[in-house]
Parts: sequence; C-alpha cells; structure tokens
Amino acid sequence: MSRKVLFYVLVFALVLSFFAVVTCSLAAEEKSILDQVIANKKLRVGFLPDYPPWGSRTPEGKYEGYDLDIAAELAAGLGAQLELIPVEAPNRVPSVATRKVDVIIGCLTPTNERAKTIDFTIPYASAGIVPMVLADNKAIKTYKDLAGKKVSVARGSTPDMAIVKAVPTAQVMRFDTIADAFTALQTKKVDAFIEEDTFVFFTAKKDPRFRAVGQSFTAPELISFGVTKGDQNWLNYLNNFLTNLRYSGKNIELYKKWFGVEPASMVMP
Amino acid sequence: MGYTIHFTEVFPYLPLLLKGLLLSVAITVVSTLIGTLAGLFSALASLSHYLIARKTANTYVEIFRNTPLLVQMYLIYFGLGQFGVQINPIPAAIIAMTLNTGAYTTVIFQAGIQAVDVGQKEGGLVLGMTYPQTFRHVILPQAFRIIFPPLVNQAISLFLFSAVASTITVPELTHQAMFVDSVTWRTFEVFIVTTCLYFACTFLVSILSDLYERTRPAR
Repeated sequence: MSRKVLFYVLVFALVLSFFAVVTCSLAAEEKSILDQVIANKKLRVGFLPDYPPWGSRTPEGKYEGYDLDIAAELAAGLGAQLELIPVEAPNRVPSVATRKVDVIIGCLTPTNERAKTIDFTIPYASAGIVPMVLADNKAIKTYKDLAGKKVSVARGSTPDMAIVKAVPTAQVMRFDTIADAFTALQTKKVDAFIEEDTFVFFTAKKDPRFRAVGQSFTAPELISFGVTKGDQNWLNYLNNFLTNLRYSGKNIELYKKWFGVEPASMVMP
Repeated sequence: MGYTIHFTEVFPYLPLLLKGLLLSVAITVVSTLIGTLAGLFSALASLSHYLIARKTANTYVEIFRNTPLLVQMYLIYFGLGQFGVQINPIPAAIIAMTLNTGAYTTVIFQAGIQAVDVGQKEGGLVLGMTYPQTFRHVILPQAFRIIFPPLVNQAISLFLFSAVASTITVPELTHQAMFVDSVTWRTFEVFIVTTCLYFACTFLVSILSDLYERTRPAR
C-alpha cells in the first residue's frame, strides 16, 4: 500500500517539476541576454575544449584557440568578464537551448535541424569534412574506401551526418566527445575518424601517426554562433559584432594566426 | 525565448528507445548472472583457509570497489585496444559490469554467510555432512534469505549504471536517448521519456522482489 502511495507521489512530483520548468522558461522570457550581460558584467561562452585549433587546453590548464580569441573580443566589446564554459560537441545545442551559456562559440554549423531549436548568427568561418586514418593504413585512399568500414564520429555532429549521407554502408560508431571518437582511432577500434578539415589537417601535421584522407568530401559548411531561440536583441548585437570583426580585418588576422591560411572567400568578402 | 514542449517530436523514436531499453536489460541480466556467481565463489575464496585465495579475492574486491565503473570500462575498451586486444563495445561493457558487480556481490555474500550462526555449521558437520554439503544445504539457504534484498538492490543499481556503457558506443537506452536528442534537439522531452522507461523497469523489479519476499514461507 505504502508503495502505491509513493508511486503516486513520484508521478505527482514529476508532473509538478514539468510545470516548474515551463513557468521558469516563461519567466525567463522577459529579459534579453544582452541586458543581463551588460547588467552583470559577465559573459558565459560555451566552447569546444578538445578541438584544436578552434579550442583546446594547454598543458598549463589554460584554454586557447580561434574560438577563444573571438570570445575574448566579444567580451571586451561588451565590457564584460569572460566566463569560459567547456561544452562537449553533442551538448552544444542543448546548452544554449537551456541557457547554460549565453552564446556558443564552438565550431558550430548552422544546420536547418538545429535552427528549429536555437538561433544562429551570420557565419564567421567555414569548414569542410575529411576522414583521418592511421599513417600505416594504406588501404584507404579516398573517402569512398570507407564503405563497410568502421568509422568514429562525435554523436550528432556535422561529420556524423555527412558520412552517413556520403557513405551509407560505413559502420558509424557514435561517441560522446570528439576526444573519445579520436581515441577510438588511436586505439584501433575503428578504421577512420571523421572530423572537420581544420582539425584533421592540424592534427595530421602535428602528429606523424595520423594521415588525412584527401580533401573535404562535402561542400564546406558555415560556422556560426548559436544563441537561445527568440532573443532578437542579443542576436542583433552578435551579428553586428561579427560584421565589425570582419570589416576591421580582425577576424582574418585571428583566422590566419590559428589556421595559417586565409579564410574562404565565401565567408570573408 | 520560451521553450515550447513538443513530445510529438520524440514519439517516432519510441521503438528505437525501446530497443535500447531491451539491450540495457540484456547486458544487465547477463552481467548480474555471471557477476553474482563470480561473487559467490569470490566470497567463498575470501572466507577460505587458503591465504592465496583470500588475498586474491580481497585484492579483486578492493580494486573494483574503489574505482569508477567508467574508468574500468575505458580501460577494458580503449586501454586494452592499445595493446592490440580488441574487444567489441557490448562484450567490453559486459566484462566491465560483470567484474564490477562481482566485487560488490562478494561483499554481500561475505556478510550473508557470516551472519549465519556458527552453530548451524557445527550442527551440519556433527551430523556427518562434509563442509561443502553443509554449505550447500545448511548455510547457503539461510544466507540467501538475508542477502536477497541487497542482491536485488545491486542488480537495480547495475541496471542504472549500465548507462555508462553509452560512452563506449553500446546502443543501450541512454545512448539511444542521446542519439535521439542530437537529431531532434528535444533534450527535455527525450530524457523525460527515458527517465520514465528506466523508472518503469526498476519499479517493476522492486515490486516483484517485494512480492517474492512476502509470499515465500517464513522460516
């Protein structure tokens, strides 16, 4: 009998928490993140902690990368203190949707699926997708050789979707983090690891154990900031910030600093 | 800015989640069965007169009870891979979960066996039974009454900890939930449904174990 009571109490608690969340999200509607950042002098930026040269950790424990430099510019412009929040690749969209961060600057592609849940700024960079294999693997010459092979990706990432589309017969193993998907290649769990070209070229150049397989097998994808849905004031501010970053030449300077090449012309007029 | 709740976006993925649940249950059942058996023998070893058996069993228990399941799983899946020992995700998860639960059930069995009065053992031996016979027919049935509830608890917590296997790509419930989350971006809805699925299973098990305890003859 007492168990039955406990059960109903739990169901009731569940329903109650459900409504609490709804009301919270309604209450949060009143104020723009822009106003909050200005008032609190604090900007919470989500970024990828395991994805050089976009964002990574130095041996001293500090974070650095292209996205981190852009975040610093953004915070300086707002006169706010920068609070860096490492976010794993699959958690990027949920973390802005649930307002765990004010903005995500984490090599995030503005796909149509994601745009149903969060809003995106104008793009600030672009990236293609390239498979990476162990250097002694001579069998895989192009991405087409991945048919029937095991490949690792970060779950729900654009490489995940791209490889399923380009090589439907590949056995895709989905990991929680980019680091785990990469470890799977290192420990020979998979034949190839699929990621964005900037990361793959950067890693293959630095570490002779790995080899990039050709050039991108998809058209380059845009990279934008992600923000919570419907906060037009905040979105306007960020778009204006990115336009200024582009025309001042600062973005090109930062891009060259981290990637060693000029950004693609489709993003940089 | 408000978030509108849309359970309808999650419903098409319900079969996928149920498939994940089935795998969660399967890996838990297999690990629990083997692990409990291993726990029984390891408890016997730890209570035996042989020093080596005692030391081996105790070392096993200490190592696996004092490290996280996640680390054990990574070591078996990724770590052994570095040495060329390639174990697929599902077997790797089952091995890690079996070893982990084996260590916990060892302690449960130890406590249960020691809780049976020494007089029972002496009685059995006096009646002319050998020690294995005494253990099998006198001690174990009594110990089992004592350890049944903690064994069920251990099985339930192993079921919940099986979510850890999602990190090594085992397509169990949590892994599928995370996948559905990354296609629909409906984090709240997906995990509410997942919570209900986990809860329904564990709740069913605790009701069944309650019923069993109530209906079995009193001693």
